Amino acid sequence: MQKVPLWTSHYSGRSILTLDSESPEVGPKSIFGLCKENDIKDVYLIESNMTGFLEAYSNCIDLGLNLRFGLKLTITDDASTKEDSLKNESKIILFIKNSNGYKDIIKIWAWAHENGFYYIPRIDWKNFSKLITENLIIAFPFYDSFVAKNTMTFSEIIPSIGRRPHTFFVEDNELPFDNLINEALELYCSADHGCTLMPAQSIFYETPDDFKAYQSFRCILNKSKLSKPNFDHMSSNTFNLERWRSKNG
Amino acid sequence: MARKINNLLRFDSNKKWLIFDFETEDLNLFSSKPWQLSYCLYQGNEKIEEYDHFPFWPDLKMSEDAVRITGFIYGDYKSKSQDANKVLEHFEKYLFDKDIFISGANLIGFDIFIHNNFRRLLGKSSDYSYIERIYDVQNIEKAIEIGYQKPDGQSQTAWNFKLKSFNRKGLKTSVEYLCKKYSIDYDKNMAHDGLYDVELTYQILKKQLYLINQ
Repeated sequence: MQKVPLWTSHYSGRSILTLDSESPEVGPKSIFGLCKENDIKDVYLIESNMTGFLEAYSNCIDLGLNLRFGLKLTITDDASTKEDSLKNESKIILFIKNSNGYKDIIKIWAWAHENGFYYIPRIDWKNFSKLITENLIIAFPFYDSFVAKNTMTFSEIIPSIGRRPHTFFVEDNELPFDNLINEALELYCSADHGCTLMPAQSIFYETPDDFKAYQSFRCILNKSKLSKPNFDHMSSNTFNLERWRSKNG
Repeated sequence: MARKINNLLRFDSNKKWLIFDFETEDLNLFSSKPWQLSYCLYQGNEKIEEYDHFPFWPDLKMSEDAVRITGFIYGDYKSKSQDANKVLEHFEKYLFDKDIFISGANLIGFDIFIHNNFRRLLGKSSDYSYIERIYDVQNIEKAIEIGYQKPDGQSQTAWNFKLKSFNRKGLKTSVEYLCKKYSIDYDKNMAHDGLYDVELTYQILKKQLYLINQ
């Protein structure tokens, strides 16, 4: 099964790739430029905010690419409380299915800003259930989903997504806990929760050699330095396009 | 029940323990090169083997902090250093031996990644299969403090990562603190000498094993 390339731009603070229409001769590469070079028609763009949406949307139209925009949002037990916020938080990805989906995602994003903001915009499962529509597709990132959080930490997050279909992205980035999360996901999905597993590769830079630039960017935002980056588990340079290419023949 | 108690690690005097510690050029989990690897093999109250190895890297770049904290002197390092391949090969004979349990301080947050860097620098692929046998003294301490018992069927890897992620204000797990708690002599001037840290870690581990049900 082919791995889905999951792109993220610098607007999310976790990538050194841009949403420019093409890559410059020197400087940061463009996601769309790389998609064109690699004959990738469907651009799965996962962002932790809506900042780059318009740029991505208009560039995709100009370049004849299909934008599959996903908003990666923090979801928690009760967005009105700040207590135990980290313990109860996990991430969810909402993909826009159609033009009404854009309007629906804006409503969710606005709710998370207005009612759930605590350092970052957050929504809770209860209000998520009220605001989710059929114009949005529910997915979960590999490392930050409630399943991964329950497996890797003492969190006991109980999601409320009912019988809505949802997808978990599955990754292998040579990290020591990849198998652990993978096994937990297989167990979760073996019960009839209406979920599917989809092999994927997160892409934050083009090649393994770009890892130092990527790490520098993360350190600048984190106010740390390369000799002491202070990021748990940041020990793999596989979040790149070259890796995705090698795994997809 | 009696049988279960007899199976506890504290009573298994035949079990061999590998305790190891890396000293590195800096704290980057992806690129940092190990310049010292100290490890000992213990059985019961006996230290049965002891190694202090210095893998040679021509492009070692010590950070100022690492030099200050570890007391690194390049001339000493160079004179003691050995072929990095041989150092790794010898160490991994113990690390990947499924009959040997493994311990150290903050292995899960640091040393396992440095070992992976070591492998990558020598052109080898990642292999974390040994972490299922790790009993990190910092994690054990957290389990003791919060009264966490490993559920039946939970992998040791999951146990390690859950406890690694756990933090609480006032919860201390440094080797210095643990020595004080368990009444083990601690010489600050010797701290970050690899073999000294390894010996302290084993002393801590022996005391901790009486406080957890594993």
